[in-house]
Amino acid sequence: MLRRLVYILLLIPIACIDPYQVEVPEGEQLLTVEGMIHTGVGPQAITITRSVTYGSIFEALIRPVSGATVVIRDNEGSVTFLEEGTEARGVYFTPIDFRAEIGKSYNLQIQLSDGKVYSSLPERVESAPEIEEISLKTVTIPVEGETNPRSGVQLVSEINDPADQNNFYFWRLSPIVHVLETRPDLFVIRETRTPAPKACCNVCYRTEYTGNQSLFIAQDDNFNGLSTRIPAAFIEDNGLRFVNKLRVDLKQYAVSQEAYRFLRLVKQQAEISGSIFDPPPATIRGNMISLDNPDEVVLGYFMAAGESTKRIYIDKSDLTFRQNAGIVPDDCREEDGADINPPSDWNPD
Amino acid sequence: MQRLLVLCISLMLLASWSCTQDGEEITVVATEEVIFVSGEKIRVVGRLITNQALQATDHGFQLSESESFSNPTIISLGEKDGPGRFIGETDGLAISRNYFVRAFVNVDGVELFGQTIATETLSPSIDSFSPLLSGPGEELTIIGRNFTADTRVFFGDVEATILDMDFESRLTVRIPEFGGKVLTPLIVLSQNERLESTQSFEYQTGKYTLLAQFPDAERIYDNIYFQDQNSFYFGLGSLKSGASLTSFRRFDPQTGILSSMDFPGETRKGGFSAGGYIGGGADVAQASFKYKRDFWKLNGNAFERLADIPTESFHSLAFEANGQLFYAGGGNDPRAIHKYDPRTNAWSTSSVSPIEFESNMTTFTYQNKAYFMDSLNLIWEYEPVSDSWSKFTEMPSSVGTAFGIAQVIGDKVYIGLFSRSTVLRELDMKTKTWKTKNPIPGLAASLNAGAFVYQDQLYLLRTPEKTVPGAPMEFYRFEPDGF
Repeated sequence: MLRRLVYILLLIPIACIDPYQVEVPEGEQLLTVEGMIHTGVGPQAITITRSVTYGSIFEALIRPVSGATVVIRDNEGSVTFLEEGTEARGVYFTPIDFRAEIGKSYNLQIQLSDGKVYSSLPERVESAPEIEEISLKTVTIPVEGETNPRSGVQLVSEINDPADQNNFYFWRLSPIVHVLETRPDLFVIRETRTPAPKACCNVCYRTEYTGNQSLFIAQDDNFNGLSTRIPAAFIEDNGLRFVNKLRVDLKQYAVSQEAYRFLRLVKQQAEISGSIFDPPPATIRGNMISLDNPDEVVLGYFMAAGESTKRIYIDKSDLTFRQNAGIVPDDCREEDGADINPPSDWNPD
Repeated sequence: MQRLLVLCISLMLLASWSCTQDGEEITVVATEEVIFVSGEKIRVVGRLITNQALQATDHGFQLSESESFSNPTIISLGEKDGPGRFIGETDGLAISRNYFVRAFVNVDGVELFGQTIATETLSPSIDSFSPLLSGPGEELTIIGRNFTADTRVFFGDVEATILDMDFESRLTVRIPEFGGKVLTPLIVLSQNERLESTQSFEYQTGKYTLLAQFPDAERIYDNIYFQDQNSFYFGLGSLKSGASLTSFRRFDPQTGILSSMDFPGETRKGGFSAGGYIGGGADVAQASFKYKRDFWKLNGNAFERLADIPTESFHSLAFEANGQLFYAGGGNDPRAIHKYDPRTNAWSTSSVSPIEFESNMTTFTYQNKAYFMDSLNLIWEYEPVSDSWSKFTEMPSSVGTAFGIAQVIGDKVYIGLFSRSTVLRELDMKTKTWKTKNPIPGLAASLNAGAFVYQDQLYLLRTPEKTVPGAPMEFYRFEPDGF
């Protein structure tokens, strides 16, 4: 009896080593269009790429789509031609004086170099309520296995939501500018590990493109016509940003209901944590259509929105918890985006 | 046993009941959205929604000016296999007209329609065009809206050739021949709707008449030129052969007679001249560079020697203002200006200028103020009475390596013909606006040997660069508003 059991147990691992062959269909490189025009200052950008293929082996990269003719057309027939950036292939910029107008509808039209034509569905520009006030909230995020939590500042937008319209909000951040303090006196020549203190400079103003840490969106179903406060952005403390002062412009957009739906679905997909309650991953349809083949899947969304913006200076004392100050042992001007002179409109007082 | 029978009957009833849920066919046609409408074109999105595997023999859109769809335009997209979105497009519509559109699908001879959407075609208009000033044969771009395929463009009464039309909003046309008016309206006809630009197009003007050609041996370089009320003078410097030219040529624009005039001083290169004054320069034919400090003034038909200039001068910039002669730079101090007062026959020095005077700079005088063009395309204004400087305006394009001309006629200054350039521009001193004039004919590789003004016309003496073989020196008359 025992001998039979041993034979059976020996059979189990032999069976387990057979690999399971998964046949995954080859994915297409889908055209992806991302971009937003708004009522704020330009230039405004539309990015056109091809998605990577998926399959049993990961291959290729997201490729910019270059050489396309890209225009934005309003409902009165005015056409704005976009120009591809010389240093950013696949990114098409409006003229610097272009601003979307509230009440107008806009179409994005794209003609690729192979002659294929794509169009967006019309997007109407709604006015964006003003940001009445920005309040700050220090946020800490526990990290498993670490004693120090991640932390940062949450920007909370206070708005008086208009009662006469259904509003859909989307927030983004401008590039941040912060005072960067470094220690040039601690500079060491890396190759020889020889201390070589530098006389200059320990204070700079650094411009950083942080983006927003998540998609911050809201609709006014629960606060229509009321004054409310909504989390609108998060800036992570990396030990350098909040050692002195930081400046950022919070941009509040009034997007269309369809754009909001798209963003909400993207946010859901992006925030999947792997639990059984997560929505299943799926392709999110945007508002771009191929005129040659309406069944072609085109990813992304062309948005048109009203913009309101408010600037805020954040002092280190505004944070109730800060990361330990990072030490950069070099001239601060050596850091990317750093300049010893403040921006011409730097006015924290 | 009875219980078992009841259970079996109940199960049979349940089974037959569940079967009744099946079999409802749903097929819906939706006219989703008009995604594009222009003057004559419309693009509509529709969708076929069905839970059946149906085969439509035709699908598309109906378009009509009446809501009852009498005599509709059919946008047929052919067969359709199964549900999905479809896009229809048509052109040839009338501008500014109301239309009704609806999607249709034909299944087994039965036509299904989507809801009706009302729309209106747009009207064409002109927003802008550029350039505002140009010449026949050049391209011009008109930006507008909703131009139709039959669009025609006119410059006044003369029709232009349309080279391209992009997105019904950008027309590229070839500027037609001059129709008789310098300022001419730009007219666009789209489906017989006449559109006229709010701003007129201006034909580029400037007529050059070749008055004379000088033999190859007569080409002069490093010369001096000036004029009085009745005559133009050019001379000194050297000939193409390298021989020094010791005299002046005098041209009478009234009679067209060219004569020779002796100069009592020594010949020179790099001298300055303005308002009949001559001075500076150097004798560079000698082994040593010998500066000339003698200073002269033309009085009638004779030269009168005046007080010598106070510094060495080579290719200085000279101008006359308020009856006084000034020369700037060209010596050891490139920022110095020296002033000659004819009442005292004496020289004095002005304050240091904010710019360094270089020999290739162009200068002119307007209303007793001097103007200098620097290498950064800036024009500086110098007010001699207050001895003050200010930035006046900027050239719209690069001066290159300069060596150009600048001559004043009324409130207009004609500036250009810089090194290896045939471009001449007009600067309005009142408005500080620039206009490009027609380019000078002849070789671009020519130098300016003289520039004069007589009866609101410009006279230009052009000498080919030394390296150009065979070409003669040319003398042109330029009429700024001629065509």
